[in-house]
Amino acid sequence: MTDKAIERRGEDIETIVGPSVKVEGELNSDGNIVIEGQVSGKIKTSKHLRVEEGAKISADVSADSALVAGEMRGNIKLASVLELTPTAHIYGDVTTKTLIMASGAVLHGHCTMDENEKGRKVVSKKGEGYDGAIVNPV
Amino acid sequence: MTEPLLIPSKNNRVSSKEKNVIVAQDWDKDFIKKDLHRLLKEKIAYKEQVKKHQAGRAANYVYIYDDYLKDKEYKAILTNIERRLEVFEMAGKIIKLTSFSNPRVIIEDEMRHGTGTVVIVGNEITLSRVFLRAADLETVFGFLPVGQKNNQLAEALGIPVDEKACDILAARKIEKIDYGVVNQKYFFVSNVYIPATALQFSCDDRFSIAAPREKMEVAITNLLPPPFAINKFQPRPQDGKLEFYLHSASGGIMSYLGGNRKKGSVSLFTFKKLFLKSDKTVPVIVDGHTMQEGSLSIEVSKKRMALIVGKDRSF
Repeated sequence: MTDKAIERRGEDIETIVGPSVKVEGELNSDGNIVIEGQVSGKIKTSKHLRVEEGAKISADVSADSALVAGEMRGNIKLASVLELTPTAHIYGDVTTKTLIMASGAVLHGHCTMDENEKGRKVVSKKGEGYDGAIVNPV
Repeated sequence: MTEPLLIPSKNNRVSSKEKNVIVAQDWDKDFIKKDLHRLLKEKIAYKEQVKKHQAGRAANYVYIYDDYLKDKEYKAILTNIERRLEVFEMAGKIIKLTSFSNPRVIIEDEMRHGTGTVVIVGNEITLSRVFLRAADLETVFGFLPVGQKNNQLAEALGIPVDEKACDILAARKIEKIDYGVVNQKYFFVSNVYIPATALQFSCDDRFSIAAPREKMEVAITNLLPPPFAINKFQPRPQDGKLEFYLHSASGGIMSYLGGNRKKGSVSLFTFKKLFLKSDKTVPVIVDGHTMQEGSLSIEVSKKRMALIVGKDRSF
C-alpha cells in the first residue's frame, strides 16, 4: 500500500517520529508509522511505514508495506510493497512481494521476493551495488 | 411419645435423595406446613426487597454543583434543569462544591449511602476537578454542562449544554472509558500538558525518546486534543492506550495560557506507561490544573470509568 493509498483510505497514523526526535529501542505499533527523524533498534508494524527524506533509520524493520525516501540501515521484511523514491538509500537485505524502485534510489543488499505469487514475472539481476538482487519489473 | 414426622415429597413418598428430612417431634403437621409457607413468603419478599434496593441504588442520583453556578446568570438554567429532572423522576440530593470541598470524600460518603450515579453539574473544569481525585471510584458518572464557557469536553462526550443534557442523562447510555494516572495520585480524562522544557522519555519500557537539539512541548491526550496545532485529532478513549505528542515549536506556559499556538513539527506515540525525567521541577497541567512535578510517571489505568455519554460523542 502506497502513501497515497493511505491518504485515500483516511487511515490514522499511530506513530510519527518528528525531524528533531531520536528514538532508541523497539518501536512496535498496530497502525501506520511515519519517520522523519532518527530511529535505532527495531521497528515493527502490521501496517504501513513511511520513511521521509532526511530520516535515518538503523534498525531491523518488519511491516506490511513501506515507502522510503530516507536512509535505512538494517534488514527489511515486508508483506506486500516496498517503494523507493529517488532519494532512498537502503543498506541491508530486503524481503518483499513487490519492489517499486525510482531512478536514483540506492539499494545495497540482498533482495528476496515472493516467487510463488501467480502471474508475477521474476527477473534476476546482478550488477554494481546489488548482491544477487531479484527485481520485479513494474 | 408421638412418632417422628417425615416431610414427604410430592408423591407422598420419601425418596432416597431426601436424606435430610426435618424431624418434628410433638409438632402438628398443619403447624409445620403453615410455618414453611410463611418462610417461603418471607424469602420471596426479601428477594423482591433486594431487587428493589439494587434498582434504586443504580438510579439513585446525587448532583454535585460547581461553585460558579451560584451566579445569577445560571439561576434560570438550573431551575429548568431541576424541573426537567423532576419530570424524568431523576431528582436527587444536591451537593454544592466549595473551594475547600474534597470531591472524593463527598462521593465516597454518598456511595456508602447507596448512591449509584454521581452527576457533575458545571463545566469541564468542574468535571476535571472531581475526576482529578475520584475517577477511580466505582460508580457511574454523569455530566450536566452549564453555560457555553469551558465545555469543549461536553461536545466530545456528545452532551449538549444546559437543560438538554438532562435527556442524555435520562437515556443513560453508559460507556466505559480510559483515564490516565499521573504519579499514581492524580487522574485525568482530557489531556496533560507540559510547556517547552528539556525532558527524557521512556515509553512502555520498550523505547526511549530524546530531542537533543531543542526543547519540546509535551501533551498526553485521551479525550481532548493537545493545546498546540496538529493536523487531525481523533479521540480514542477506549483503546486502552494514551497518545503522546511532542511539539517542536517554541512556546511556554504563557503561550499556552494566551492561546498563541504556532504550528511546528509534531511527533506522536501511543503508550500504556510513560516516564518523563527532568533535572528540575516543571509545571504540569493536568486537565487544566497546574502542579509542579519533577519526574513523572503517566499511565493508562487498568480500570475504566463508567460515564453517561450522548450518541453524538466524538469516539
